[in-house]
Amino acid sequence: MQRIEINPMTRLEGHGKITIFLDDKGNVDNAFLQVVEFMGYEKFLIGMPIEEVPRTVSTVCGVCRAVHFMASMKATDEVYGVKPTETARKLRELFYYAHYVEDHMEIIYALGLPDFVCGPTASPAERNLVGLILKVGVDVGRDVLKKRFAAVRIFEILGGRPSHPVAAIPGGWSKRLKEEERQEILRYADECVELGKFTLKAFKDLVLSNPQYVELIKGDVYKVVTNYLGTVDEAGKVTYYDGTQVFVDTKGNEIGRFSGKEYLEWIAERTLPWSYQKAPYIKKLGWKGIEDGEGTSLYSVGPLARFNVGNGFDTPGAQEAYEEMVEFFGGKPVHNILGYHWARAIELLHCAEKVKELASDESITAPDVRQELGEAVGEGVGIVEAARGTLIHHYKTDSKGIVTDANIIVATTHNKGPMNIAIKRAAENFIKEGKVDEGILNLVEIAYRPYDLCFACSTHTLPGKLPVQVNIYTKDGELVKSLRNFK
Amino acid sequence: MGHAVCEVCARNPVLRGEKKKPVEEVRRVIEGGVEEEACLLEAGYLCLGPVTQGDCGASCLKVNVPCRGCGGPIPGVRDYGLRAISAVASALEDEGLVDRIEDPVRLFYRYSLPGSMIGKRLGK
Repeated sequence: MQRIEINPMTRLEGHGKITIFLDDKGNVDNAFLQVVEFMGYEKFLIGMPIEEVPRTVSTVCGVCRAVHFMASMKATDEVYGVKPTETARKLRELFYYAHYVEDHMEIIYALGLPDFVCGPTASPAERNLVGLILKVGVDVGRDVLKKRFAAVRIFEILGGRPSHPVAAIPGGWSKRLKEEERQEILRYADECVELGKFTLKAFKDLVLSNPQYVELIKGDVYKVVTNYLGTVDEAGKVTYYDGTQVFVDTKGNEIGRFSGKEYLEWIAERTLPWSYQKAPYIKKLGWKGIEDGEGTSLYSVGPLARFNVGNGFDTPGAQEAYEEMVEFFGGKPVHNILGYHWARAIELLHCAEKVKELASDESITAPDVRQELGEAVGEGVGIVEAARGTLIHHYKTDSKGIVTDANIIVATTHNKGPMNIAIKRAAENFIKEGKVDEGILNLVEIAYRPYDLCFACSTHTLPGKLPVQVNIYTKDGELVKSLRNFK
Repeated sequence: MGHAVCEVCARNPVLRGEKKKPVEEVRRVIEGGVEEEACLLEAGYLCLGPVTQGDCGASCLKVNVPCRGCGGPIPGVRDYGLRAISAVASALEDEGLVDRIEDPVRLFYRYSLPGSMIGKRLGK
């Protein structure tokens, strides 16, 4: 049996590898997406005062730092049995929307678009962010980066730092916004909206105008039929900071909804012997293996899942783009995973429009950003929609608010099963009779990039046993022996 | 480079020509309201600004949050946590306040425990 390894995987956050096994005829027998890094936050948070947790877990990742910060902050609210003050909630949302703008921008331009703009089988030396900028023009690239800076600056004003934010307070926000800062944010908001509009236009001009790409987007190679999980507001619209978590099935019908601790009734995780990352499934449907199609218990999260779960967006530009995408695919749910990129671009505009809306609200500078806290009630669950999907932080504390237990389920973990199916399907389609080259392997890698996977986030805990592989090489790089404690 | 967070922090009373006051109580960031311009360490919020590199421009302090040492030690410090403990202990007015410090390892060594002398054997 021949074995092909894509290692390291590229244009993702974190480290991973894909292993493809070929049968005797050189066709794909099986394929695995393996996560090869390990962190361990859930262990070392134990013993920490809960109010120190948000700024600490924000360091799980350098890209999606605001999402862990936000989910754990919401959990601290519950630990102290409080809801954020009205102004604190507005500040949190404004901060979060700004984060979405800069995060989605990065994923679209640096990780997703190079495959289309530079060509899916182009040399890796060209198929990257620099290659993208050279294709679209240096001035355009500079302008897009400048507009992303606007979102990062809003993030910094509110969160304290452009990197890992620190302004979390249970039931509040550590800083009151000054009027001059609101005015500054308002100016940046216009740039964010322009970035959102430009990105959608770029997606249409560079991707949707190409019939070959449209065939890939609409075809069956990059299609994974699963259930979906997303968060909606009271009107059923897509939302991120707060709302109700809803599951829909492969036909788009609602399976059920939950909030807070109820996630335990809905989500179970399966430890896989070949990866540090666990595979979640819908508990009420039971484990049915890593298989897609009608009746599967796997579910997907992220922009396309939110698109499938929600009934639209609450801002005009995003709603218009949403309707256009529904029409393109001829209805919902959309299982074509390249649609993730498009849905992400719609969300970028949506969040930019929300930044503008919140920054226009003069009452956001009101002083009620903190409140008195009593004794800790001892348990809290914070759920947000991270840029790459539903994120759950669950903590238990003693009466002084010292963490005694922590559980984190991140977006990339939810997508473990679907991603594995996606890469296997692409490998089966493109690798025939043992013929493999760099271009073909990238066509396999294209299958995971829509999910915007972040392995740094998803490898936060130990499975039952730590899988270890030791490779022994000669000084010339020849593999002598490989030892491992897993099958 | 080489300046501590306190040296670039607008809250530092010394930079305003005032004397530093001893720390009379130890507070968690969830306790009480943080004043906009006061030194957080003086107010009892254990801030590690005195021993941390201040290239950040005291950014956490600008949003009323104490420093936790992510910038690493100021020059000449071999063990960040030990120096932080020393700095805070010197600022406390009463020895008994030490018992009020929650989770000291994750406070003083949040970013530096693997590099600390703790747990290492002394050379022969």
